[in-house]
Order: sequence, then C-alpha cells, then structure tokens
Amino acid sequence: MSELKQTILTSMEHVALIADCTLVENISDDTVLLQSGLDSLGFAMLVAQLEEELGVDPFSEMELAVYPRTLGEFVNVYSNALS
Amino acid sequence: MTPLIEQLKSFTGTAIITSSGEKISFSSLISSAENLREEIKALSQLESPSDANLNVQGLGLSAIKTSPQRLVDDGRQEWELPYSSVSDFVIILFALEGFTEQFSISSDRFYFSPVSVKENKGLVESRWFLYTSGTTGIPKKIAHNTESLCAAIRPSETATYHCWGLTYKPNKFAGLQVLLQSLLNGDCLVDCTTGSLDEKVALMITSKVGAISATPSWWRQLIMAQNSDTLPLSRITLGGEIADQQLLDVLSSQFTSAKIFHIYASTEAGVGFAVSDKKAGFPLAWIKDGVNKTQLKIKDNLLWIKPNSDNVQLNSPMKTIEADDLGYINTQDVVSIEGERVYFKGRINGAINVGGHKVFPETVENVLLTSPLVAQARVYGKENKILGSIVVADIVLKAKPESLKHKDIQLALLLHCKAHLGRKDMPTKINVVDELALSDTGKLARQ
Repeated sequence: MSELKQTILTSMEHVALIADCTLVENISDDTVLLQSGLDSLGFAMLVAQLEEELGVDPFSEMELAVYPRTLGEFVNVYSNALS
Repeated sequence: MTPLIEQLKSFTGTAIITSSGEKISFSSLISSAENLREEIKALSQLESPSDANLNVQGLGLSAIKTSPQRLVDDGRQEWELPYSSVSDFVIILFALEGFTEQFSISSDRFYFSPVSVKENKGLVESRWFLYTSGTTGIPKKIAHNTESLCAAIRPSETATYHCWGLTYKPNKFAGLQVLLQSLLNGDCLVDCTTGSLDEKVALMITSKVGAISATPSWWRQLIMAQNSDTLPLSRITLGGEIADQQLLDVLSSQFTSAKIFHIYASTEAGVGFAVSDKKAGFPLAWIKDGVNKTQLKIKDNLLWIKPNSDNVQLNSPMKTIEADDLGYINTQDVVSIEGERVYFKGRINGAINVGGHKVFPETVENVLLTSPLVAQARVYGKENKILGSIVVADIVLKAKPESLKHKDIQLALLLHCKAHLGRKDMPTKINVVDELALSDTGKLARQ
C-alpha cells in the first residue's frame, strides 16, 4: 500500500472517531466513498485533516470541481495534487 | 441636565493619568476646556475663520480647522478638532458638551457646527453622535444625548476612591461609559489604551488601578500577562462580548475581593443591564419583569431590548436603529433558555453556514475555553467545496505542555468539543497559534 493511501486511511479513522462515524471494514480502492461510513461532514473534516498532514487541499485549489467516487479516485486526486 | 463641565467643579486631585504616567488635575482639565470654549467663541465671530488656528496653551491640541469637504445636511460647514490622546479627548468633550448643539466623535476627531456656537446664548442640550463598532457590519452613526449617555453612571460607593483603567477607545460607547463613570465621580482615569500589554499592566500597578472595564477577550489576555494577579482590583466589568462561565470563575478566584459585573450594552440601546452574580447569562425572570426600567423580550431566538432612554426617538429620523412599534430594538443577539437562565449564543449575522446548519462561533469558542488547555480561542468559517463552510478554530494554549505534541493537543480538544457540541458545530480543524489579534474595540478580530 502506498504511503499516501496509508496516510489517508489513518486520517479517515481519526476523523471517524471525532465525527462520530463508523467506518466499514475492509476499505479498498473500489470502496464507494459515501459507503465508507463517513458522511459529508466527515469528508469535510477529512479534507481539513489531510491539508494539515499533506499541506494541500486539492478540492479548494482545483478550478473545476471534481468529486471522486471511490477511495481509489480520492487517493488519485491527492497523488496528482502532490506530484 | 447640568453641563458636565459644571459637575467636575467640585472635584480636586488627579483626573487623568496619561499613558506615560503624567498626572492631569481636575482644575487644569476644567480650565483647559473653558479656554477652548473661549477660543471657539472668538473664532465663531470671525468672518472667515478658515485661516485661524487655535492653540490651547500647554495641551498640544492641534489646530481647529474648518473642513470644506464636510458639509452638513443644510449646507453649513462643520469644524473639526483632532485629538491624539485621551486627555485631549476629554478636554474637547467637556468643552463641547453643553456648549454646542451637536457634535460627532470619530476615531481621531470631533466634528461640530460653528454656527450653533455663534448663536449660543446660554446652555444647550447637546446631541452626541457616536459610531458603532460595526463588529459584523458597516459602522452606523447613532444619536445620543447627555442624559442617555449618563443613564448608567452610578455614584461611586461611599469612601471608595477608584482609579479606573481605560482599556476601550474613548470615542466608543464603552469607552465613554468608563470615562464618564470615572470623571463624573471625581475618580481618576488611567489611559491604558496604548502600549504593549506588559506596559499597560505596569502602568495599572503603579497607578493603583482598582476598577477595569474591558472585553472578555481583553481579560483573557490580562490573565496571561505577568504580574496581573497583583492588581488591587475591587471592580471588574466585562462587556462587548459574551462572558463565559470559565472566565468569570478564573476572575473571581484570582481577584477574590472584586465585584464582578458583566454588562449588556450597545451603542444603539445604551446600557441594558448588568449581571453581578458571577454566572454566565442572565435570569429568565428579567424577560418577564424587565430590569432597571429596561424591558426585554425574545422573538425567534433573538433578544429585543427596550431601553430606558430616548435613543429610539432620537434616531427615528435617520432610521439607523431597527425597532418595532413598541420601541424594542433588535439586538441581533441569539439567545437560548436553559432552566431559569438565558444564555447568549452569538450574533445572528456572524453565524457560519455548515451545510445549511448555523454555527455560532461564540458558542464553539466558549466550549473550547472550558478546556484546561485553552487560554484564548477564535472560531471562524472557512470555505469548503462539500459543505459551503467548515468550522475552524485558532487557539492560544495556557502553557506549552512539553510532553504533548500539536497533534495530541488537537485530538484532545476535538474530543473535548465532541463531548459538548453537536456534530455540525464541531471544529474540523484546530490551529495552535501564539496570539490572537483584538480589534480596536478590544473584541476578537473577526474579519
């Protein structure tokens, strides 16, 4: 597993604890984000948390709004923003 | 009402201690103000006073200038008198009050009409114009008269002589209250409006300041300043922002012999009420019964206040104050009732919209302040693609715990918030900062 994906998964667990969400088990690249257990507030918190961890918020920097559907797509957005 | 300058004439001793420690007596204050009146009178007789300069000896007052750019409604010119210190301010104020029909006070000068002075045959009832702080909007010009501004001035308790620390700018409603409360009781006003916090504390200690009126944000900074616990305070007043229980508790344990008041006031409504039981919020009974001739009501979670003064009528021609048919002013402050108490939640137009849910920054700040780690907090909204806005907090720590990393502190605080706030009220991000800026009204800078 890439280091980036690991960071994102750790942050998701962290946010789930704070935002009172329960993550589904066995999250993979194909897991649909909105079925991961985080709701929209959870995702907003996740993006804020990752900005802290990684120093980027690709969603506010993008000119076009991109809404990743799966975890794999979500990781890609960050990977592109960091490259 | 007796002109304010006349009310000073029975007092002796020091009226003002400047920020550099210089003492100005009541008698020199009165004679400077009277000299200034004479100069204004003389200038009013001139055909074209625009070239005339005015110097009040020894006070460093700048010149009176006519100001052609400023024409009042009926086409008359207004004169302006700039001030650069609290003592200048006081001299101009006591010269104009009861002498000119109206004057307005900005952050660095007084404006008044020379014509009204020229026609002045005796004592006049002055109309004052003050500017609101515009915490969450554009500053408004609000009319007062001497009576409405002095409505909340109380005689000092017998045999207690106070030195009042002035922390507010003197041109603001809260600053004027401190200034008038102090001088009209023959007490001494100490100018604590300039300099660093440490310098202010040093000045307050050497001047033996016993009474301070300031915002909760200012008090939180004071508590963190060195030696502040040695101040001989007997009277503590909080106003301008929500006073939280945590702060009231810290102040009452640090200054055990002090009376503590938190005051609800605004430039528009004047002083509404003062709460002295050292508890946050105010008694629910006041909504039903009123308090000190001020009537209160709650409509759609907003507090409305009917002041015991002519403010609403004074301002009705300008329509600057939103009042209903019964004379109640909409304070824009959101309140909630819990048991027998009414609590302030925040300003209606300061709310953060998180996915359609309104979050009041003040409410989140008050929860953060109940954590033993947090000395000061500022909560604000940050644009977010998913929810419109998210809640972000900047905090100043009480002490830098060496064993705790930033990450641990953030997690501890988020869990603390989780225990006391609804999900959508939760900060999504907590930044640890060294200090929080205050606006020139002493409130947390929210812009």
